[in-house]
Amino acid sequence: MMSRLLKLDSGNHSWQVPAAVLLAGALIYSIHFSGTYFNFDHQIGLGWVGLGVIYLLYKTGIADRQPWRIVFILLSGFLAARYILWRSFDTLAYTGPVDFVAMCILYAAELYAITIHFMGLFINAWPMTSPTVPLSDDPAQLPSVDVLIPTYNEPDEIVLATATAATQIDYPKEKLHIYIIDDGGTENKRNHPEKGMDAWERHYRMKQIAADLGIGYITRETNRQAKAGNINHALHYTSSDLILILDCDHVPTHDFLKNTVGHFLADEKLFLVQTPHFFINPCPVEKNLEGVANPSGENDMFYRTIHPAMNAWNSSYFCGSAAVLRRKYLEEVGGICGTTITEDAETAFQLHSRGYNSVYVNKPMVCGLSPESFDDYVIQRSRWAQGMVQLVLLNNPLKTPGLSLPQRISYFNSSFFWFFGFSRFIYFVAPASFLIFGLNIYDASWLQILAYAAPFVLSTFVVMNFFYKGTRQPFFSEIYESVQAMFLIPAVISVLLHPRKPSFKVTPKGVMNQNNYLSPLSAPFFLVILVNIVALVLAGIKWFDEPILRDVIMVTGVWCVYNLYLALVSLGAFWERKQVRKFHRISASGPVNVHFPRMKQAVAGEVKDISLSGIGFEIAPPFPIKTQERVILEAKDSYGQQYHFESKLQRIVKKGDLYFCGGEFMTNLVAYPNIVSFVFGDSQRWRDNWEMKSRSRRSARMLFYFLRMGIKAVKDCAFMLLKQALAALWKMLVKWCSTPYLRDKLVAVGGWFWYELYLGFIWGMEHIEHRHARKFSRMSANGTAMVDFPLHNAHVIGRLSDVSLTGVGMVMDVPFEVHEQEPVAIDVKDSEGHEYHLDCTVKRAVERDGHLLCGAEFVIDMHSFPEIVRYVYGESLTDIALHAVRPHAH
Amino acid sequence: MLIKLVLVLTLFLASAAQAESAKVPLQKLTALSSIQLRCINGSESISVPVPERWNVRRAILTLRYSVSNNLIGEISQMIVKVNDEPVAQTKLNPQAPNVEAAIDIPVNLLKPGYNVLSFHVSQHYSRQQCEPPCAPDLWTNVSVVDSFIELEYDLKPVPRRLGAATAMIFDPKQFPEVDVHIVTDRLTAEAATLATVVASGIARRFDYRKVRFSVSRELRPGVDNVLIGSRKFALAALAVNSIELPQGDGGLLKIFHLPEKEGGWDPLHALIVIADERAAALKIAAATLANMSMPYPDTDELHALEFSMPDVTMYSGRNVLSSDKVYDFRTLNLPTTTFHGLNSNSVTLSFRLPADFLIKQNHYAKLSVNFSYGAGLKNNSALNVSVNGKALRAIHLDSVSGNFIDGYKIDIPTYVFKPGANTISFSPSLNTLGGLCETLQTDGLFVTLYENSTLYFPPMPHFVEMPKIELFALNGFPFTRWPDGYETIVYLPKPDDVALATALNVVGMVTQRNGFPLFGTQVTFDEPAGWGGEILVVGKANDVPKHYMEAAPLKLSDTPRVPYPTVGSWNAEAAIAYSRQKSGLGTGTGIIMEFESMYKKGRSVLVFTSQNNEGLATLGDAVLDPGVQGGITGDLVVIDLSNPKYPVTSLRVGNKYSTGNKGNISVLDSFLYANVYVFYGALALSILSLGLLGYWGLRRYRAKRAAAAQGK
Repeated sequence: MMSRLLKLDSGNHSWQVPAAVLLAGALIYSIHFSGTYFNFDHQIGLGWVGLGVIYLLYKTGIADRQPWRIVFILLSGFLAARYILWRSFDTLAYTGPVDFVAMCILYAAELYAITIHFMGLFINAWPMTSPTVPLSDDPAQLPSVDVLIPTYNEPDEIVLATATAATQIDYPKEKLHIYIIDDGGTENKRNHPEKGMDAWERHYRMKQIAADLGIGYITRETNRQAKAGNINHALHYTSSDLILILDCDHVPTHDFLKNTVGHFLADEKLFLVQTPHFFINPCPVEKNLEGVANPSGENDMFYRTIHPAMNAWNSSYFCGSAAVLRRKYLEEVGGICGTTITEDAETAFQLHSRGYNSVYVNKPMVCGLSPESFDDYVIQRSRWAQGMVQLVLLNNPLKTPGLSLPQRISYFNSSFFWFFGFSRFIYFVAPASFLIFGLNIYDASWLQILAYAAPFVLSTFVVMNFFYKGTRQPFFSEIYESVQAMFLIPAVISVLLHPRKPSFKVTPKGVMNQNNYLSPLSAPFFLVILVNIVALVLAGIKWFDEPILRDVIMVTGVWCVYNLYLALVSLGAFWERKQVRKFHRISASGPVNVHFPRMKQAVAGEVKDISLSGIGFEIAPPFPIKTQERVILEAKDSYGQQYHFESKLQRIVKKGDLYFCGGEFMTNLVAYPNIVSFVFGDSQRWRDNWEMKSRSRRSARMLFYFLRMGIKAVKDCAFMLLKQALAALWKMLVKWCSTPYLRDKLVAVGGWFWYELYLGFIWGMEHIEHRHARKFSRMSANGTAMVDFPLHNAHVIGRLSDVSLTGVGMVMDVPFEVHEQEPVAIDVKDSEGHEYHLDCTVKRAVERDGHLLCGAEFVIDMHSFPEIVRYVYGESLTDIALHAVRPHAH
Repeated sequence: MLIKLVLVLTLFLASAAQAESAKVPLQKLTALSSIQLRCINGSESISVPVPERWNVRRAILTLRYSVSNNLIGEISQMIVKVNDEPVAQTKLNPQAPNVEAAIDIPVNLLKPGYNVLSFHVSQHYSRQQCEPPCAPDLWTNVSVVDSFIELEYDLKPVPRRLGAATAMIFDPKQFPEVDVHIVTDRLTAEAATLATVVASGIARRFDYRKVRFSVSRELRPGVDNVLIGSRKFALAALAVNSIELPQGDGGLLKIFHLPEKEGGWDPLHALIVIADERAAALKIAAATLANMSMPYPDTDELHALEFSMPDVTMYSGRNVLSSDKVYDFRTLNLPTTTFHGLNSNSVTLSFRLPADFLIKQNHYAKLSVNFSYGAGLKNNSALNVSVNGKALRAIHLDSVSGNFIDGYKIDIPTYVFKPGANTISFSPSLNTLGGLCETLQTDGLFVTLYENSTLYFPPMPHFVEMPKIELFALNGFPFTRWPDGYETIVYLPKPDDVALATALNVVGMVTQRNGFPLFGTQVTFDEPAGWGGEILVVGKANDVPKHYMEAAPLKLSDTPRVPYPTVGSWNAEAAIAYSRQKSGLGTGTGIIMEFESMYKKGRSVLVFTSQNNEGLATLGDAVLDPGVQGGITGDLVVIDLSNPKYPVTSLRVGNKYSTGNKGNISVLDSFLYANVYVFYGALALSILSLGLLGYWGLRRYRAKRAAAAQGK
């Protein structure tokens, strides 16, 4: 059964499948056993030792070699399975309806993430790159190829470059047929009452380009089914065996067909050879890092690691461009499919399910443009997300007959992945839901987190770094996912509600941007940041308020900090950088000879960068050079082809003996194809560029940069809001103060405020005094008192030391022992000579320096109280004192 | 006249000479460690049992208490009440802070049953009105260790009515301890099994009261006797009084006054006869006697035809909480309770968790409390909740106008609970809004805790690392895994009356701890080879088979290998030194050992042994002592039987094993649990093997795919 699903039915492996099932059973049993019988020490040991082994395998490079790679994957899978089983059976508890719903949502998000993780582990078991199959030297044995360049509204120069490069593809000319298939100049568009004129103009321009290059031009009546419809329409007018589809911004190299067509000759059942998309311009996130680092492009991960992994399972699918398809099989499924808006993947899916094969050639042979702004980026990703979700909903890869199990998993993974927006959003708000709303969403102690969750989470980082090293900087996937998450959710929901509704939106390319600014799309991240800050503040309060929940508070607090960090870093990635270049420069290398007609000398130099408009090179001429000087450049590509360009020096920067020069190509009809051939025709250049980015380090620096930018964004926005709030307040104040009545009111309110502040201060001082000092302050006193000790039947004269409303302090000499709580009566006189007889209780009797220090407390009742007050405060203050103190006394 | 006077005096002296007495420290009557009477009006109470069977002649309470030095003697006093009637009042004099007082309790106040003995204080440390009502100075402490109650009583004649008599004879209110003699006609395993059923049932009727069993072929004067055997044997025992036994179907159950040797009857003690020729009928009659918990029948005899116990489930027992089930407080014996005043007492919810619960760390027991409280409470008032004596939560009573709170939820982490007895206590801390020198109105200070409040305990697996004799002391685990002792066998290697009596005492103790009679337990005199359940071995050291001793933690052979704990390590197993020596057990030592059954993995053998019969009998008595039960732990317990306080030394020296998972744990689980590094190794090996197999499969698959792609 298993072998049938895997389609591994060659040879006899009667014992291997049972052995694999047995060993897999042993692993499952191990998870069960450890989960049931292990205590925390063992669980922590198991989790962290597992993580340690994974890390060692990764760090020492052992995991790069087979079979250790598979061992690495199995161990990671063990940690993941262990976590999810623990999470499923030990942490889900019903604690109330709202808690339950929130808990289920978080659990679903985790289930989603772990499913993707498992599928990733499976797919990446052993990536495979198909080597080139050499072509026959006899042109007669080669299949004919149609090159279709679909276009819609892209600038002419983009289409021109691609079409020009297509004519330079190294393939027998009689077997190569190139067509611009234009959806921007369809009859419907040309007949549009308002935009018809533009469509006519475009129609003519495109026809002219085609005519100039000697290639075909095809347009159609309507724009039905967008790109898919355009290609299918072109299929009716063409007839070659193979079809190369190139997006109009995907400029091909000379060797494209040489490296791909051979596979069709080798494998009769092959329907597709897909090649990577190489992008000359950075995506918005990369662009923000210009000058900081040169990280791998966002697409590198997909084309350099994921696609080879899928290729191993015969699951490499059509990516819309830079791919060759066999007409025969394409026509079997009615051409490019148009049910979903990711027509490319859907077409490959249909053909795979019919048992045909695909191959991925991991060599970049087109150079394209990625979206320039976040808006365009989001448009593109939303289309991909919607299309792939449509694929799940309308075709369900898990159930479609004809696919092998790995193909099912690959397609399902590629489609299901696009739900990540939901899980990312849930992770953003989950800890806050506990800290702010008190929802019990994750029933676990911090020890369990340490034993199960932490090793698993950290292992996913190690696994990601291992699988995607060289193509994705650590933590960058988190940033890319976070940046897209908020915008994909509505897009995906709309597909879930109406699976057939989404329509194809063309991704804008070659857009320019005059300023640096924070993309308005970053707004939701301010909310995320605010929510997590509030949650963290509440975590601090709860830490002291609810000590029994400290476990959960600590876990959610750490989670909040991570969310906050991620949100800030993502916010930092949201800056839109200025983009004014019409043609993007790209790093290049190689020798160049620069002829200076003025000096009649040639100087050898080194190419630094190139673009369709010019070239940057470094030379050390023995004479001074100047801008606007005309030079002749002589360079070679990796195939050994020699090029001569006329150029004008536009920029010269001198560093020591070296000059860094920026030369502009002197373009004309004759030179242009040469320039295109030199700039875009050499596939080795794109490969070098890949390698250079792979060597890029400085991940921490990049993350720090994003963090700094994120904080700057928060700060700027906070200042801006504060400024606006203050301005509004000031405006209001000015308006109020303009009338005398309101000014008086303002003075009154101000006075009241200060008065309340003063009262608060007084209350505070009293409060502090009452807490830390006596209720009634003691005053020093002079004079004598006659003290009557009824228990001893004795009278003693004492010297008064202090007096307060609660009692008196006296110093005296007594021949007997005085006990605390002993009743005494004192006769005293005040300064005005009034005599008082006061009953007291001894509260304190201490012998010091041979004398007895005695503290006696007044016995207070209705009759004695006025007397005491009168004695303590004197006649004049008595009324005030009685008024102040009486409520306490009663 | 003089003669009359002499006669009356003689009668009085004679009756006085016959009177018996019981002296019990208050410690034995309460769970409190001391009686703390706090605040201006503190009170506490304890229950004093008076058995129906006693005719109390005199009761003296000897009270030892301490008072705060800061009290004012003139206006501080303590009142002692019995069933709410004041029997004594005394000034609390700080000049004499430690007082011992004897209080004569009028016997007419003492009713059969539980009598409330309460202590109330009114105490002050200031004569002023402005006295804080709960100042720390206001305390009086009654020592429960040094205070005791002494009762002089006569025994009432036992009525010859089965229903009434059994309630009177097996009355748990008798204290401090009770003796019951069991008479069997022969010493066979069947007879011993019947004796076990009877002893277990009787022990359960005595609740927690210590009951000591003895066994012989003859009646024992001065105590209650239960005779089990054939009708012929019963007739022989009653021959001296020429009594005939009635005929009828079913086992005969009949009560007599205890025959005296010389003829005649002792009306103060009973002889209960369980007689039949058939073992099954005897068992039915024995079980019927053991469960006769209401005054029916009103006759002196019955013929037991059939008897059935309710269905039992594993791990159930006295006050045992089933997991994954919601209990209301009423079910847990905590009816609606109102706390009044500034210093009201606490109430406690007591329950037990199965001894072998593997308490998981991340789960929560759910407490849902319904309560109301009065108006005028100061905002520092709270209802404190503590679990097993550890403060857990103070529920803030923060509404000045009072409130009714329905379903206040408290999540209690399960790690604060423990296997066995657990408590959840509620104690209010109430304060009034009034100021210090104001007249305080305390009538509004109340909190009512409602009986419809609930407790839920989440499900837990039954799995425990053994050996642990402390679990045996806790509730007889593992013999009570089935509460009726099913799957348990009592093995007497060399049966005699002493060994059987010791076994009965152990069975009685287990029954009392678990609260369910061990009707499913069997007794055997032959080695239970191949037995798949738990084994309880009782016998002299020389009688226990050698291979049992070899498996035991202390191998009592001619040259035993003796473990001695050394000091200095937290790891108990690693801190044991061993000495091989030629030595003996001696006559004053009792040994209890637990180890894994040699017949079945995960099952236990528990051995009770001593050098001789005297030691064995004393060991049987010692295990009934709560102090001994509290002290035994590990797998080897040595009890000094020569010291009346039975000092206990416990060790953990033997091999570990595990049991649980509803009684069945696989051999593999058990092995891996005991050898965790083997598990790690096996795990690594399985991952490596699977990796290699995966590698092999993938390599073949890729070769095939590459060949297809290259057209080969």
